[in-house]
Amino acid sequence: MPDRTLLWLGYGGCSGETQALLGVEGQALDLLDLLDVDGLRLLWHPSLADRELGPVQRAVAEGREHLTVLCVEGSVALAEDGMFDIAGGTGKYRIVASLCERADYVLAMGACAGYGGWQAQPPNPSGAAGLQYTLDAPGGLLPPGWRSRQGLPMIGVAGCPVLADTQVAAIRWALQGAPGGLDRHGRAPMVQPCLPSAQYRGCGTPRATGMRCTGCTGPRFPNFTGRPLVRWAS
Amino acid sequence: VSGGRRGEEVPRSEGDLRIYWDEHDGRIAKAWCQGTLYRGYEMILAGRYPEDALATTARLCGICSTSHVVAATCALEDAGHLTPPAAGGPAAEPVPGGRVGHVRCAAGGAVLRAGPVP
Repeated sequence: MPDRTLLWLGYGGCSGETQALLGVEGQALDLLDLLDVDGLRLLWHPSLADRELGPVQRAVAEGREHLTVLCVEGSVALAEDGMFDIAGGTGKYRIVASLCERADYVLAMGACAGYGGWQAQPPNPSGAAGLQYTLDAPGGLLPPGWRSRQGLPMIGVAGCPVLADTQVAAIRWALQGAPGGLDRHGRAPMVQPCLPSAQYRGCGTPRATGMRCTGCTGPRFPNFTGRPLVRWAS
Repeated sequence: VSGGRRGEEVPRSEGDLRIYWDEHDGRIAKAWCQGTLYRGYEMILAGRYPEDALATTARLCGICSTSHVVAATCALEDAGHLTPPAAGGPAAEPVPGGRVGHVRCAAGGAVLRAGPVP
């Protein structure tokens, strides 16, 4: 089996996808399966790494290390040359942009990474953008026509947060070449509303929390408008 | 720092905070922390409906989301001169009441920040 690698970046977000993956309900096993059974070699993850990203990033950039799957969590801050999210004195958008150019597949884990999410709501002080969208407008960190090394655009794995099962399924699906393709907002087919259950279709949020659904798999999420965001379920 | 050594550490929960220190004679002489991420939630919430703070501030952090919601709730209570009903008070008190989330937050944070390096 050829060497296949996974690199995970944390940007402007809450690390909710990481928390879901490493959660207390046994989902961490899904991630371990991905590494052990599917043979993905973990190059770096902010919560699991024992060293700085820099050397790994340079190895990938210089072609000494092949990058198969790049997962990005959180939005990318573009305002003021990226000074709202920095590493080593420079805007972190530069790092993710350079790694996107080296990756076979780029997955946007969560609503923020794909579309900007919470911090992209007006007035969007940090210039938050998704990898290839800014809310529902094509073009984010990367232009609409951008393609990864395997010829695919950003793969949107939307949610807030995305269930661990969905994250792992999306990575496996990407490794198969993304059969069937993406939907009109660049999302993978296994993206589903949060808190689903066998008892009812669609989003289970109202039943579980008493608040109405805010549409966490949609590109405009959380869709701040003139109406209150929090509406109590009747 | 003469005769000292400078250290730098990145916490493992995303790395949005950096810790710097100067070491001198085996002791920490000075230490600093730097927040490296600004998203502007305060600016985004300005002008919004007050209750929107409950759903929004939870998304600040996937580890300590409950802490932000409890803080937002307290702020709304203060702003509205509200006293929670009798059943609401205990629900917001420390374990075994409603602040289980704080414990979950603390446990998650402890594992990520102080747990063994894999």
